[in-house]
Amino acid sequence: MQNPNSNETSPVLVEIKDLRKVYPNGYEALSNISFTLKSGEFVCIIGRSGAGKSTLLRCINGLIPLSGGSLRVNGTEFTTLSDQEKLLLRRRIGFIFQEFNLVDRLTVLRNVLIGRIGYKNDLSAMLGYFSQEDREKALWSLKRVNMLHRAKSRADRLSGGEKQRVAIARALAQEPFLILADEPVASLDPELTWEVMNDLQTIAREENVPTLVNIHDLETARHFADRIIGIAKGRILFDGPVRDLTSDHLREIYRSNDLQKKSRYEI
Amino acid sequence: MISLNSLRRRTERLALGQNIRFARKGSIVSIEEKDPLQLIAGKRTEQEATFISTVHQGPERELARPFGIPDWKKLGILLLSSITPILFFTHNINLDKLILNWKISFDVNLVTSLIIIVLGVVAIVPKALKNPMLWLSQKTITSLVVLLLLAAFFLFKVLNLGTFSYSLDKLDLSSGIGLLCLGPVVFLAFRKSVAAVAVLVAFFLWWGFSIRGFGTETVVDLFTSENGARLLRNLTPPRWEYFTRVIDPMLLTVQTAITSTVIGVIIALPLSILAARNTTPHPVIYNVVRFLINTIRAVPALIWALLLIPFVGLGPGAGILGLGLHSVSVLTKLFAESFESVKPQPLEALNAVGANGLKTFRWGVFPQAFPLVASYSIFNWESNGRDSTVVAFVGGGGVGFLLQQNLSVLDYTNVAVLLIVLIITVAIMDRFSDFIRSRII
Ligand SMILES: Nc1ncnc2c1ncn2[C@@H]1O[C@H](COP(=O)(O)OP(=O)(O)OP(=O)(O)O)[C@@H](O)[C@H]1O
Ligand SMILES: [Mg+2]
Repeated sequence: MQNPNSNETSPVLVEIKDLRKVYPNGYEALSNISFTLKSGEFVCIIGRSGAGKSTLLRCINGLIPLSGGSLRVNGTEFTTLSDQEKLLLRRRIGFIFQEFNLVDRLTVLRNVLIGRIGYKNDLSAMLGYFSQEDREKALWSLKRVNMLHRAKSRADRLSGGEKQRVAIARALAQEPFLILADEPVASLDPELTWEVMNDLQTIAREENVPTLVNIHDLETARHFADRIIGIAKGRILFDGPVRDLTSDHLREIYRSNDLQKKSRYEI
Repeated sequence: MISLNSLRRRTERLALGQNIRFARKGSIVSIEEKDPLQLIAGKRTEQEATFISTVHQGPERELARPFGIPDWKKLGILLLSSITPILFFTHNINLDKLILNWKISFDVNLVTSLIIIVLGVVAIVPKALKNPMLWLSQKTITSLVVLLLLAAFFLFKVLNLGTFSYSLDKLDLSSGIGLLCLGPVVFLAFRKSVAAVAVLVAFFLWWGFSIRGFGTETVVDLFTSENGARLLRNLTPPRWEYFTRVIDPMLLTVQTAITSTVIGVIIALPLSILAARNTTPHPVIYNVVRFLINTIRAVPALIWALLLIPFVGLGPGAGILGLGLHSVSVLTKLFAESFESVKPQPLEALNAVGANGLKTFRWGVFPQAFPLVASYSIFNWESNGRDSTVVAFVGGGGVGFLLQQNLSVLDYTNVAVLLIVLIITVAIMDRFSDFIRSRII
């Protein structure tokens, strides 16, 4: 399942070089991370719990500051931006969370409109005024994930899968040039996992948006990804197309810290 | 320690299906044969039995006992150090009064600015010494500037706070020494001893009830004395002709509640954004607003109304402003707390779509906190309705003013009408606010 859009000539959208992240408590969560993303690429990041997958995504959209290295998004060096400019860039990066992170008491439509909030001035945001254009964009995003019929219901009335689809719509409403998803299917059943991953992949293809997905389930990753990045202990151990991923790589990526214990990939 | 032999014996018995009870020390006390069903219920596996016998030696042995392991030494100290204060406080051990003639006085402006500077240094310097980058951060600089300005405000007597003075002539030695004897109890209480806390609470309550002029006889008097019965007789029958004159003041009371609550909510909303830890733009602002609010709240609404009379004149105005001020302080605290209690995940999502602080508040914090904010506001309206009676004692207007008038001329049949109207009004407001609340949430 190679992406027809992404080939050698596609423009590079995200370029990460020697990224390093040290948490304030001195723990080095990421080191020597370098890779690039081209438009329309659908990339899955795999790795054990605590490998640093979430940390990497949070660094990329600037939710947490880097400790070193460079991060160019759409040709702009992220690390040198002011806080104000970071907000402007971040409004074009969709982020999808494992726990959906919707505002429970607002309607589905309002939740999707929140994706437009980076484009609004303070006053209209305060008053809750969203123009017709904003609303059309939000409705279209909902249509894309087949949630238009629930636009009026409150977000806390939805099932898990529906919530995640709304969260995807919120990301779409941002008109993103990059989508980051941190374990988007970890709280969904296998059937919904399939649907949500399908949505994400379709969007990546049709809108030409590179998408970076953290995922624990290897089978799903293999099925959907154009490319897989394997991380262990804050370093990239594998970066390449799915077919190149061998069981040797997997053993390396999923190797337990406890040398006595055998990984399930070591049989 | 149990010998290996006894352990083996025990497991053998278990294998026989006999019910075994363990004594506290972990050795076998009795082997009882019971009816077959019980035997199965009480049966322990070999592993479980070994575990239980070791648990009584291990560090968890305390947890296996119903009352833990009492610390006799601590209890002894506790008992001793709570009996001595009793002897002193009841003057069973009587000591003289100590003549002291101490006089303490200082310039309040100077001391306040010193305290501000010391607190600021304590809050900022140790952190900044660890991480020198902090010296240059905007946060530290703003904090320093605000602190220095505050200190200068007091130091240069923009507001003259005068000279504080306090003179201590005599010291009641019995009470003083009694208090000192409580020291160990306080120490134990800080070490998380529940018994010590209970002792302290008991002393506190005892002190509370030792007011002169209040005792069981006060309560008994109320029901037995001539005066109590006469009060009841005087209140009945209510003079219902008075009712026509009560309606307007009653409506005024409700209006007062509405106005003061609206003032409170409008001012409290922006203040509470500054006073909530997760929405405040800066920790120094947070602390300043909290301090301001606590100061206002320490003064009751009635006193505020009295203080405001010279500025706004006698009438409902003073009462409304007094109640409003009090509402501001109460609501700011409650609103801020409801902002602090919202779920953080949606805020993270707002952060991720590029919303700034203001937008995050409007679309992340506020929608989540709204039910609480609304019900606190309605509750405040209700309580303002009740308090406006008291405030109207001084402000004029409202049921409270009439109450005060009639009470001062001992016209109890009118008072009865007023009380009935008051009770009904409050009950209606209560129902009404319940209704609105059920609609909102
Ligand atoms: N705020 C923090 N301060 C210190 N250490 C942190 C912080 N956040 C995460 N870490 C540590 O960084 C490491 C990587 O965490 P991260 O959340 O990125 O892992 P992950 O790969 O996403 O794991 P999972 O698959 O369980 O989500 C972990 O060891 C974690 O303990
Ligand atoms: Mg994670």
